Amino acid sequence: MANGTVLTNVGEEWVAERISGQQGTGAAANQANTGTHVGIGTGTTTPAKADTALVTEVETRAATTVTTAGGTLASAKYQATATVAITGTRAVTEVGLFSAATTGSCFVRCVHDVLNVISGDSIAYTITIDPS
Amino acid sequence: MSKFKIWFNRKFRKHNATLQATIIHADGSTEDKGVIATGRIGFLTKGR
Repeated sequence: MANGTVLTNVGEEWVAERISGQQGTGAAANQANTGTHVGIGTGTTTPAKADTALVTEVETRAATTVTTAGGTLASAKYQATATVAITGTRAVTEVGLFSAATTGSCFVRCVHDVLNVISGDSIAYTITIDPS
Repeated sequence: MSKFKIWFNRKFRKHNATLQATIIHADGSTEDKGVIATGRIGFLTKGR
């Protein structure tokens, strides 16, 4: 396992679609999608461009709030925030940015050090993409 | 690409995708974990 954050192949197509406003050749039309949901999991496989889902997704995905953060010109960044509610004892190690509340396209997959949480906790995530 | 260039890029190129997390415990306390994962997106840097 190696920690990291990857814009997946589907994510790259998503970026192109968002900029052009036109659907690419992939199956999903994501040109109007802002990255609406964040999901979490307990998988530890190193993130890869070909990823299309989390390895072991748990809990219900949380809706995101998406902003262009960080200011103007070169400082501007895509930022998605979401708070995922925890319903059981979990060792959370992966996070995904998705196009829908279930299934959908996985634009970004992150693997990180274990966050140990229990029922009643929640985790607030901020995913930032800086096109620099 | 030379081994030096690969090493240089890995070491010094900007991490432009980041993940931050804060655990909000059931008792209301918070635990800021800061940046817990980074990556290089590179979608606008191809061909450089």
